Amino acid sequence: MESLTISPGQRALRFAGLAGAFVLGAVLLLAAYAKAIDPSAFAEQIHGDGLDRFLSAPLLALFAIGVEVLLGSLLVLEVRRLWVLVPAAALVAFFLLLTGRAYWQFVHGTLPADANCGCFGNLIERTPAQAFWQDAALLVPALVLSFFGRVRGASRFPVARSVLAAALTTAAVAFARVAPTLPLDDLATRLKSGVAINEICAGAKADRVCFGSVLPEIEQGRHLLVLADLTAPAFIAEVDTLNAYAQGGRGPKLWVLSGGTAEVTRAFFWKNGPAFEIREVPQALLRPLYRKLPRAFLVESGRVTRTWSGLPPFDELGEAVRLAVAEKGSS
Amino acid sequence: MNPSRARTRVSILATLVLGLAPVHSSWAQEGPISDFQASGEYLLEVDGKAVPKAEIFQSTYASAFLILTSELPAPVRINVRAQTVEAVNLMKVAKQPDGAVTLLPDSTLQPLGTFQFADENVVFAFSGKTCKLKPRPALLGLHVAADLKGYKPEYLRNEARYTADAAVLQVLKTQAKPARVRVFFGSWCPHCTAFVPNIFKVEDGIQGSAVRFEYYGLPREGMAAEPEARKLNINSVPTGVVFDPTGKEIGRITGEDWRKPEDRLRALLVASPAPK
Repeated sequence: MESLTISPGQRALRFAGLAGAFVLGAVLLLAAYAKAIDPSAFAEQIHGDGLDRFLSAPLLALFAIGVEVLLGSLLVLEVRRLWVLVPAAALVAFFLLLTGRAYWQFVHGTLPADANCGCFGNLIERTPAQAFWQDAALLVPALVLSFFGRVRGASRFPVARSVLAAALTTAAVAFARVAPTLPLDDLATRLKSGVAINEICAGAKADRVCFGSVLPEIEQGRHLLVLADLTAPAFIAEVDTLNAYAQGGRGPKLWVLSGGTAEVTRAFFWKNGPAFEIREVPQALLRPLYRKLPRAFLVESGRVTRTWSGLPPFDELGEAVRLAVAEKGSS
Repeated sequence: MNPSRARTRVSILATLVLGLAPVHSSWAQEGPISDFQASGEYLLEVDGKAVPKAEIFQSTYASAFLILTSELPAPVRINVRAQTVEAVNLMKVAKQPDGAVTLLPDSTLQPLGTFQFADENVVFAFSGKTCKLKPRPALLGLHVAADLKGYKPEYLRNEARYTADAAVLQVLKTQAKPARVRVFFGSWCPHCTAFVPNIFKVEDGIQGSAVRFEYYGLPREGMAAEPEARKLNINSVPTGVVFDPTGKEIGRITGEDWRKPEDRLRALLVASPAPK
């Protein structure tokens, strides 16, 4: 008979509190999802922020995903007890501390505008300033509201909902653990079929750079692009295959894109003799495009038409290649 | 002396020195290699002495470098994939009108062994001389466009590829306010190599206007701490800073502006029609 005992004002407060908790929970779940489909990018972010002093970054990433899912699902399930709200407030404060620190560093010129802010994984492109203000605008009002209109005397530990939240958390952590092996690259990154290369950008205002500016040659015609780590032995072992494809000249032109320095590119060139063009691409532009290297994609008239995890099937793209590789191997 | 005649003499001499019959290296060249393009990435040193006039070409297709210099008995090809160096017959080196070089089949005169890559340098020996390809030092400080074009042939090639909007150039030429455009660039920066040549075309296209251009090279390491860069808060290159005649900054050419710098200059330097 609760409805008979509470005033319209209390009811409004309760509704505001439920709405705030739901919004905060949903934001935490969305952020956890974006991190769970690419936990290694999140781990890199943790390492970059220097938070992995006592626990390894990959382990910390799984732990953080678990905490976000647990708190997010409890809030969505309307569990607004202090043992949920206080850690949620601490988490929001921690997020704001991180994005605020990046924003401060950016304002004081010690962080580039294109620095990645990790909170939403690689899915959303945000500058340090945007990250701070968006987090503040999304999280703080929702957090404050979620304290309103809490029912006094309610059970401290709603078993069914807590068990459900724990189950969701376990599932989320398990998913994050296997996510790198699942074919989720198109979901987890900004690189997917249909995207125009000039929609892939990094940085803000004056420092904004889009993919087409880094590689204007690919705005027209067909091009095969491979994102690669030039120091990875597995990629180096494939240079013959790539050379055979590039020299075969039958498929789309091959470009290898690297986030490494000029020194890394030069060392790769002189030690391995690539017969394809290598372009240095700013890390801020490159990192949101992959979960694991190498990754490849086909661009036709400035638009991504296919993507591959790993190297592309060269035999499909240029039929002469497989023969050329086999010939080279047997000689 | 006519350079081509000199090269022919060098070639004949080399043929005599290295043996009359051409010797083929382990890597057989099947057909002509026509994509040797002039490269500004490296400088040649022979026995510790810089050879600034050496012509250095790179073929992506063949993964090879070709060096032409009168300091060596014959042209040299570095076959990067095979990690070998070989002397080539100058008579098999054909220069194309666009500046590219074609290496004709059966060009090898003599294998010269292998090269070493260490500390960013490529070292090989030829006729008892120690030859070294070193990454070219960055172009720093204040320059004019011709300096950049002379420093790196890639600037010239990319300039030739760009077509500036003729109508905008005409407007700039006749209506632009007096201004000085200082382009901060890094000769080590691939993005600058791709886009700074666009503004060369603009500069050439508005010759005689009231707009002056200058180019300021920044180092790779500590770029933002360089005094001029720090003074104007330059954090990325290329950045064009446009000043009025009193030295006051009017605006900047940054990021995506570089695709069509003439549009940005028009926005900064041509007064928009007064509202009626």
